[in-house]
Amino acid sequence: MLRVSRQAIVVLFVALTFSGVLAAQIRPTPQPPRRPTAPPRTAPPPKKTPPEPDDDRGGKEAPTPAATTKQSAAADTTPAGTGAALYKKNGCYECHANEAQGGPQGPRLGPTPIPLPRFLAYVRNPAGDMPPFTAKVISDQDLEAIYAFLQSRPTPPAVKEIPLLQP
Amino acid sequence: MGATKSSKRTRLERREFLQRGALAGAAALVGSGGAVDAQTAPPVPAAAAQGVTPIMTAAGEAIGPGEVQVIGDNQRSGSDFMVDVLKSLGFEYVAANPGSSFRGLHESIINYGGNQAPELITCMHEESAVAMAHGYYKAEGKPMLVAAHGTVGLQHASMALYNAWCDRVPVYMVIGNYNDAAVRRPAEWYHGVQDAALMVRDFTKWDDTPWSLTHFAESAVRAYNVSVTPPMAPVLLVLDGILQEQGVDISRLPAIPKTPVPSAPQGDATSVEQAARMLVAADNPVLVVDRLARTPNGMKLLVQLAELVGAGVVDQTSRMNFPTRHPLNQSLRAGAAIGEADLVVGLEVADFWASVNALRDQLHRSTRRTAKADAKMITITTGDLYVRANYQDFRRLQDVDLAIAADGEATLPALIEAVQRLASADRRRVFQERAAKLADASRVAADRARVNASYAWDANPVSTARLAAELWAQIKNEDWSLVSSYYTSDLGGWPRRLWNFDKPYQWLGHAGGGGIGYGAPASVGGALANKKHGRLSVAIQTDGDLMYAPGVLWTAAHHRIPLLSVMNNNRAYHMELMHVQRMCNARNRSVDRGAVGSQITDPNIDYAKLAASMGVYAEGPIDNPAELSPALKRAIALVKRGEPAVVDVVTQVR
Repeated sequence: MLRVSRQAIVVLFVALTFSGVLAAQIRPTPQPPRRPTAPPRTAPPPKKTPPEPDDDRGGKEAPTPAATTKQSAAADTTPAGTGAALYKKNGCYECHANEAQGGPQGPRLGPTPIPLPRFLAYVRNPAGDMPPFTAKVISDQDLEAIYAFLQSRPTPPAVKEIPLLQP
Repeated sequence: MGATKSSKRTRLERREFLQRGALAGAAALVGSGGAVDAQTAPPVPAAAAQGVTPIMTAAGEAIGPGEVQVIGDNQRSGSDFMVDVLKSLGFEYVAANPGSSFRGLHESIINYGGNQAPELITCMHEESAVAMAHGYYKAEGKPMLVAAHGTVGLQHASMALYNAWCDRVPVYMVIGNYNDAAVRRPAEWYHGVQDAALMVRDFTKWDDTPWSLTHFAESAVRAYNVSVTPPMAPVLLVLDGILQEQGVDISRLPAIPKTPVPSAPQGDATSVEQAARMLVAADNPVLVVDRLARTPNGMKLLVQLAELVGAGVVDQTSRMNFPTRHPLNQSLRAGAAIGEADLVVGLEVADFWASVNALRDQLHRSTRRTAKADAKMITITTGDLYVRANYQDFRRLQDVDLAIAADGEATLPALIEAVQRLASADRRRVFQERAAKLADASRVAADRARVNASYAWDANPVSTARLAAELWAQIKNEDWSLVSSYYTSDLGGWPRRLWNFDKPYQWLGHAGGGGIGYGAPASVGGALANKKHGRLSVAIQTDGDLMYAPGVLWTAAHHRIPLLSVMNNNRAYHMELMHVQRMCNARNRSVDRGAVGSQITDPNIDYAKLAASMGVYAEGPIDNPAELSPALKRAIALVKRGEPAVVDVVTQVR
């Protein structure tokens, strides 16, 4: 009898709980008003970055230096075009940014780099935190191509012509 | 009277504890006589029927189930009382991922406490909960409560606690644990622990495991005061599961202590006077500040001191210390400003050595002093009051001429008063001339920053400078707050170079310990604090950071937390990528494989779809700068209606 009585109490408790009788005795929890489930409000499909000439992964590449920009995505066998690929391959963009415009870890390099002899000497034996590049890692010829790429960077419009940069 | 009442309650609790022990002893005696038939089990002891859980023994466990036990009308659960205490501390929110070891407290918060003050914020990860509390504190100036499962929940939370500790930010955390091994359910053995707080004790300021409700009340108030008294840091309370769940007669509930928060330590008068004399006498002093502004008054005081002595200010930005466009702000030419100074005053600077020295990160590491060889130095910091042994956040020791172990902000009024008293009319003229030169230097640095921003202006992917400028154009006429705060999530410093930060809540500082994954949840926490003030919260969200625990986007959607997250999506853990390249160079190997293991590509992550899947408005990926402005306008319109939004922008690497 005792066991049956306990079961009955348990059943009654569960029933009351789910029927809301007990719920009425507890303080209601404030809830924000529900809203319809948000539809996926994504923008139109993204414009794909054209793959690089040496990229066989169909545009699944990280943002990389100027070689990925729309202006320079086409195959370019000029010294500057070769230099763009070498700029990426040798990781120059990692500190000096994709367009050699500089960043927190490295100064701007183009479009008016330091004279070529000084440039070559500095890359081999840099001051500060820049890691050294030996001739085993990159040849003078490749550095000259990178130098051509740096010189080819577009000169930006004057600041006074960019409304967003006015103080 | 209060003390007498409290003593009486403590005695009652002690009597109850002894009574429980006596019951256990009686049960053991019964057990020693042989097995007890469940059908003929003795009646449930009166104390147990009143909600006092007897200590379990072999005999006790053999007793059949008694009458269904519920808390009596004249009783409160222990965790109801805990909610009363927590309410007295003024918590607005409790961030939590649910866990059974604090189920009692969870239920008390939502039912007994009405889910208001604190309101439960549902988190998808304990690390997100703590980081939300971290960001919330820096926007609101008071701690958020975090509740977590014992052991596994705390393990998840530990990195975020470490960030908060390194950042000297108070986070008030409670976890559950069934201390009594005899009453643990099977799963609770994996989560049960002898000393639950041990694993985070090195990077919390204080912890306790209360054994009674009186003990809890005192420790809860003590924990709050300890956490918010400079030097501030996280605290942890371990709440016993049975203490949460058992009932206590309402008439026997202990009193809630009402101890005020202690005042912050100020520098002693003699040292402050000496610092003032050095400041007045200096030809070219510079004020270097990092975690100075604890309250909105901190910025006002710093402006007052800088203008009074005509000193340049270098803001290392762990807090919003000084207006970015103030003429004395020399942060854009920090190296030159410190290098020219004959007096460097460090105010709550976490790494003063690195402020006046540099370490060259090459195969052979070397250091050099960047300050003048004969420059005098003063530090005022609570860092001198709180040094722990294991984790090395105390940095290198710098020789200084005067070290004041005190809170910087609390010491500034006395320092300002002393300078005002000591500065002659002649010196004040010198101060004005110096300030004019510093204003010129500051203007030149700002102009140079705008020129730098113009390079790669139309590049694709978007340059980080362009993104910062586009975003500024959309928010500059709003009451905005930049709530993201990781080393590079502010676009390598572009907002500070291009935006006008002049209010205390417009910048929340950094992660503290450098643990990635802080940015997204801290932004949501900051936005939660900003919500009631009607501020437009903006985050510049890095991709690698978001992917640690992206579920916080769901939390933002679920709780209607308005936040504009603009992705700084460079598809890499780029800082680590640079470190690997450095190693390639140091070993004289080709660097073209340096990106292996650090890039987040193949496949690219679609953050817009990720956000949309959790009910967050999203656009992108955008890599064309011309598309930025309309996308930001649409997203901001939605955020201003009270919802989160994500705009995924593919950016240049730096």
